[in-house]
Amino acid sequence: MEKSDRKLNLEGVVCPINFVKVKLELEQMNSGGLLEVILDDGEPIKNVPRSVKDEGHKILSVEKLEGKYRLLIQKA
Amino acid sequence: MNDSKNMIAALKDGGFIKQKQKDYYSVRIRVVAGNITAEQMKKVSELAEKYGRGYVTFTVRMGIEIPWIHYTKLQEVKEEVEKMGLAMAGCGPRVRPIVSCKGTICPYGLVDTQGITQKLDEEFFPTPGFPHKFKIGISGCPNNCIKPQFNDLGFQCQVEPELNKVLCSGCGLCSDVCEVKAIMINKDNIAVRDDDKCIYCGSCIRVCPTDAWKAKRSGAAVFAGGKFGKEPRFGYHIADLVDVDDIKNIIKRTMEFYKTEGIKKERLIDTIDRVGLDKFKEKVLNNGEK
Repeated sequence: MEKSDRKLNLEGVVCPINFVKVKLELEQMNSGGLLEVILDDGEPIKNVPRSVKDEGHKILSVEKLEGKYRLLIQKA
Repeated sequence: MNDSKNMIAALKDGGFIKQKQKDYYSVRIRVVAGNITAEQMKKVSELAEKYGRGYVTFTVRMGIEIPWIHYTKLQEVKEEVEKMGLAMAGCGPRVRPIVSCKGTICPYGLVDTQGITQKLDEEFFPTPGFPHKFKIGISGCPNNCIKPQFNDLGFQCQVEPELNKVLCSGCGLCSDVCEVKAIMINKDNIAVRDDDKCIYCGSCIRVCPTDAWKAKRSGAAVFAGGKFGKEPRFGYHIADLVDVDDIKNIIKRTMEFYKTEGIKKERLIDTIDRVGLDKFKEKVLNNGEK
């Protein structure tokens, strides 16, 4: 996985707070910047990637870990 | 005695429901697709304060009722309701308010459920002349928040996914989120979907990071004959991915079937069971549906 500019650990953070935090973090970054996000399995992984995509950002990679996922998001 | 029974039935048809308490009735106000404007809510509140006891009750099918109307005020209330631009919602052997989920705004919603329901409600509510009540429900996705399977006719919207293999990175997210385990990643690291297991919920499409999964077509599953009450019955799952524009035709044909074949006081499922499910499907579905 490429090295990210910022990291956000959202384990234990419920929907939609997790997406809101991702959105706010991305807002503070430059276009093209890379954000690494840790999300819980279950509802978070079902919902957050879609919301991120809807905002126009790209999901470069998805890595499955123990009960959670590591996403690499590129800001639009 | 018969006179009084008839009067009560007539009142019910008109949206006045007798309460347990002597001399009191609840008034049922029509609500379409579960939405009511702030303006209408204010008017309903006024009525509740003027004629009821200052509170309203929400029904299970997303209607509104104003309880504690004294029988001497029924005519007056009816006139006020009409003057306010509201409408009464009847009970009895007719089409009941059509229930819609919030699919219009819900992230899981596959279609504009409230828009569709509004059009269907305009066309079919409160068509009378059935053997018994006729309940219709529209669900925006297989989460089934409004339980279409417990309506005489329930529609559950679906989306059929298809994969662009070139875009698939084999990340396995779709397989992970598929609740019915219909997707697996094959030895070539490409997602493969088992159509027999698939419930067309669209989770794979939603979650795919590369947009390899896309919507091929949307439609609705059809459930017929559901009911609750003292002997709950699950509706028969008679079709998948029916064109959303065809929903009104299925409703029309089902109504014809129920009116022609039904015996007074029996629910649709009793009619279907008596006449035969195959005969029912023949009458109601077009040929060539899954």
